Amino acid sequence: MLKVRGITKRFGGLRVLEGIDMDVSAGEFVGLIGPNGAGKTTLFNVLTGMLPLNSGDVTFLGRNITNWPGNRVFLAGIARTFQVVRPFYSLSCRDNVLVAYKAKFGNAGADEAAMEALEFLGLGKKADKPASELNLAEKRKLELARAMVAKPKLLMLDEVMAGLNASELDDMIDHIRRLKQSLALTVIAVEHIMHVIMSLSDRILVLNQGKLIADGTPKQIAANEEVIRAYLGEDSNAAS
Amino acid sequence: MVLLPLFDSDPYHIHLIISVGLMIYLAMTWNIVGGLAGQVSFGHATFVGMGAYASTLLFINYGLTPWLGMIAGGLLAVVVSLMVGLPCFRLRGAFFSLSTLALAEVVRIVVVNTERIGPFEVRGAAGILVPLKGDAPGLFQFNGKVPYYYIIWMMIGAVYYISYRIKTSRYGLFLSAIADDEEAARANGVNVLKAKMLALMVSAFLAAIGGTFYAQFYRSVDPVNVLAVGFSMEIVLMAVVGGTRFLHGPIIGTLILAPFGEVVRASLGGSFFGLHKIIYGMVLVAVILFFPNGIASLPDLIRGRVKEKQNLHAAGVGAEE
Repeated sequence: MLKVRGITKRFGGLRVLEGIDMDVSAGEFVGLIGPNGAGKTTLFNVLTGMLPLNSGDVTFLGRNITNWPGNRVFLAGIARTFQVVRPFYSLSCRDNVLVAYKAKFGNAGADEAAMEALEFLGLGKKADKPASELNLAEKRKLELARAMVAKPKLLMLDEVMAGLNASELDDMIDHIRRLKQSLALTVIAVEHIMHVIMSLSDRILVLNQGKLIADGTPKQIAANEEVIRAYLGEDSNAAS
Repeated sequence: MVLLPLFDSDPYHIHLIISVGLMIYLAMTWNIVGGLAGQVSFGHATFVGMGAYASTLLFINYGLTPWLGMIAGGLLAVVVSLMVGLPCFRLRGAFFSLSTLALAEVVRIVVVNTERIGPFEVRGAAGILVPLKGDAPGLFQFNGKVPYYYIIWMMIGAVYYISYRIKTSRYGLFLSAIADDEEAARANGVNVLKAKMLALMVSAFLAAIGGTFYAQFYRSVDPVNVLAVGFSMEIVLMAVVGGTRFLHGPIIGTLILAPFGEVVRASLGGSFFGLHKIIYGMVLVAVILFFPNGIASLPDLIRGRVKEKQNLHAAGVGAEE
C-alpha cells in the first residue's frame, strides 16, 4: 500500500531523516517508535505533505505522491492525527468533522456522515459544542472522527494516546481497534507507550537519529540490542 | 435608519451617516478575507483606490458611466489581488500582514510619483477630480446627498448578504477552518491557497466598488487619502473592534468608532490633529483587554458569565446537600 524509498529530510545542516526505506502492506498495523528527536513526526509530516522532502520517493496505492501538498494527500486516502492535538477550536464538533467530509465528498450526505463518525467515537452528544470545550481525550477522539469520516485507506496516528489516563487509554485503544476493523484500515502509529504499541502492532519500525534501525514483530523489536541501546544508551542494564 | 432622511434633512448629518456607511461597507468587504479567512491584510485601501481611479479615469477619458466603470475597477482589483495574494499567501501570520502593508505602500508611492499611465492622466499626488455633471443618476451623480444615503445602505445590505452566503456555505466552513488552523485545514483536505485567493478576490472586487462610491460621493480621488496606509488601518480597526468572527462585527465596530472619529476630526481637527487616532488606539487596547473577540462578542461573554455563575451556584448547592 505504502512504499517509501530513500527519504531524506534536512533542516539546513541538520539531517533529520536519512535514507528511510519502508513498506506498509494493506491491513497492517505498523507501530513507529524511537527516542525523542528520532524524526518520527518529521517522517509523518513528510509522508503527509506537511513538509517537503529533500530526496526520495513515496508511492501510495501505486501512485507517486512525493511532495504532494497535504490536502491532495488527504484526498488520495491518507488521514492523520497530530502529536499536539489540533481541532478547529472555534468550530463545533460537528463542523470539525464536516470540514474533512465536505473537502472530500462535498455536501451530499454530510450531516449524516458527521453524526455517524461522532457517535462512533462517543461524541454524539457533544456535536454542537465548540471543540474548545472538550477535554484532551475528547479532542483526540474528535481528530479521529475527522480522520475517519473521509474514509481513508491509511490512517497515521501521531501519539494519539499521549496525555490520556488509564481509562481514557483503554477507551482509545478500543476505538482504534474498532475503527481499523470497520473501515478495513491500514494504520501507522507513532507511540511512546510501549505496552500499547506492542499489543496493537503487527509490525514495528524503529527510528533513531533519522535512520531506520529495526523492522520486525513486537517480540523481535523488544529483544533487539540496537533498539535497547537507542533507548537506554550504551551502558545499559536492560537485560531484564 | 432607512427613513432617517425624512426626519432629518440636515446635509451634514446625512453626509456623516453616508461616510460612516461607506466605512461599514469597506470594513465588511475587508472582513471577508480578514475575518472569515483570518488573513489580516493591511493593504485593503489599494483595492478601494483601484476602483476609485479606474471608474473615474474611464469616465474622464471615455465617458463610461461609473455604474459600469465600477465593474471594470472591480476586475482590475481582482487582477491586482491575484498578483498580491499568490506570493503573499505563501507567508503566514505577521509576515503575510507585513507583506500586504509593503505592497500597499509600493502602490501608493508609484501612484504619487506617476503623472500619466498611457492615455490616463493620474496626476500623481494632486489626484483627480470627478467631473461634475449636476444631477445625473445615469452617471452616478446626484445633487443632493439623500440618493447616496440609500445607495450605500443597499451596498451594505448586498455585502452582508454575500458575506452570509459565503459564511454558511461549504467554502465558508473551509475559511473558518483556515482561520483557526491553516495546517490542520490542509491536512484535512482543504485547498488552502485556493480558498484564501477566492476570499481575497471577492473582497477586492467589492472593495473596488466601494472605491467607485468613494469617488462619486467625495468627487475627488487622490493617493494621499484613498491609498493611504492609515485608511487601510482604519478599515481593519473597525472590523477588529467590532469582532471579525461576526458578520455584524464590522457594523458594530464602525458605528462605535467612525461617527466619533468624524465628529472629533470636524470639531478638533485643526487644534488636535490626529486626536481621533489616539482615541481609536485606546479603544483598540480596551477591546483587546476586555473583549478579545470584539464588542459583538459581548452577548456571548454575558451568557458565559451567567452560565458560570449558575454552575458555581449548582455546585455550591450540591456540596451543601
